[in-house]
Amino acid sequence: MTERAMQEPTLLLLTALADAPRHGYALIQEIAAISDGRVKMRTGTLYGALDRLLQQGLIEVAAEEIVDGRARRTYALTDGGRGALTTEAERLSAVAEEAQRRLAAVREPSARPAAVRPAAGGGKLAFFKVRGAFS
Amino acid sequence: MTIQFFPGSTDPVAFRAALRLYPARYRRERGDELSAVFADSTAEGGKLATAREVFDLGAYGLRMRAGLTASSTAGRLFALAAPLVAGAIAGLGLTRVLHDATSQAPVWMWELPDRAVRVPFYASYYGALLVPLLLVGAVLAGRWRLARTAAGALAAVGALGVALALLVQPDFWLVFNKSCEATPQLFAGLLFALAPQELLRRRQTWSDRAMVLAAAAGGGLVLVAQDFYSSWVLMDGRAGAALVLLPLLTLLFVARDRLVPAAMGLAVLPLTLTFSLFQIWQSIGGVWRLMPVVGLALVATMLAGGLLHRDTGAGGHRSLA
Repeated sequence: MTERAMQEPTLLLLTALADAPRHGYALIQEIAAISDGRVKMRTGTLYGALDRLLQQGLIEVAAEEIVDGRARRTYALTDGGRGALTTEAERLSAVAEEAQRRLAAVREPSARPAAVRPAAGGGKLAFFKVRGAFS
Repeated sequence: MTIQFFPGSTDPVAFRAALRLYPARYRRERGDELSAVFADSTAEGGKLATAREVFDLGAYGLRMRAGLTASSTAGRLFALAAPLVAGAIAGLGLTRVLHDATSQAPVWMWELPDRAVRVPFYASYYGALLVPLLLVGAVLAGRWRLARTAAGALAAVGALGVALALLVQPDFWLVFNKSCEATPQLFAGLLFALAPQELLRRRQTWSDRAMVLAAAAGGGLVLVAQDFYSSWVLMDGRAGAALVLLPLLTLLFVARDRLVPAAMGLAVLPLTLTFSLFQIWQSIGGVWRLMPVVGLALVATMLAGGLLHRDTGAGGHRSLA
């Protein structure tokens, strides 16, 4: 059975934890930075996602401390979370690479495979040739 | 334990009110941490931003209290069942359209006494046919915001049907019948409102769409089995036993954390009310004699609620990450 694509909030949260453990507000800031300000995660939504990822074993509480009189939990990726993020990153990378390749082929008509050009009376044949070229 | 409140936030009273919505244990464990994150998040925001934070924080607290988070059994079940309910209602509606187009429409539609109530009646009748199509279209296209809106509209259509029945002919028989008919519509609205959004935002796969279409076929079959507007046959023999088995199987699947078949049962069950509960009442011959049946149904519902409220581990169900 094929794996489901990861949802964006989950992907952003795991990505924010990929290089270092982080606490709640640092995660909100990091997610805003990664998404170029597009995603502003609110406190309730963040803790909903954190609770779910904790239960799924993708993240763990790395430390509990008091900083400047404030209770602070730091979250980190588990091995399972790192593996899930790696798989998703590879999947996204493969899709992005293929998209770039196809866009480049359109930008440079001379580099387009001969089979893409419509052939008189051979539309269906050309289609199968194109499919074959990408497989 | 007193939750420490940190300076910087613009609205400590609203924060405390939102935090009160959380279960006491969670509040004890995470209250200070939530307070710190809330204070940082709202330190530079205006009143509107703070209000949104408070609403978001309170909403998650309510979900925790109701056992409707994305990791709870009920939350996952509702998210799986919501698209299937949409499919089942649309299938039932389409089958009804095909039936009405090829045969005589229900007589009551054309014998309404007052022109003033005729328009709302038509709105209720055609709304019950058309809104589910919009809903299932949105589900199949993965347009969840539109789906939630359509589900809300469908619930309103159901409520309108019951209200009109009360208004035109405040007779227990008619109101009970309309209530049974409106239950799936109200249920759909409720499911889409309560299902965790993050689970509904998943991209629809072909197998998800196939399940929605299977539910649509199930909805149509329920109406055909009911013999459309007049049926007593389903209370006889094996069909009657199936009506008892279906809820029991649904409960069993929930207890075993097999949520996909449980969701399918949950999607189709409300459609059977028109010929199960309503016709049991007709067969028994009186509201007081129906009470034991209603009592049993309530016990089963409470049992289901108890089962749904407990959280399950990560194993035994497919990943929803």
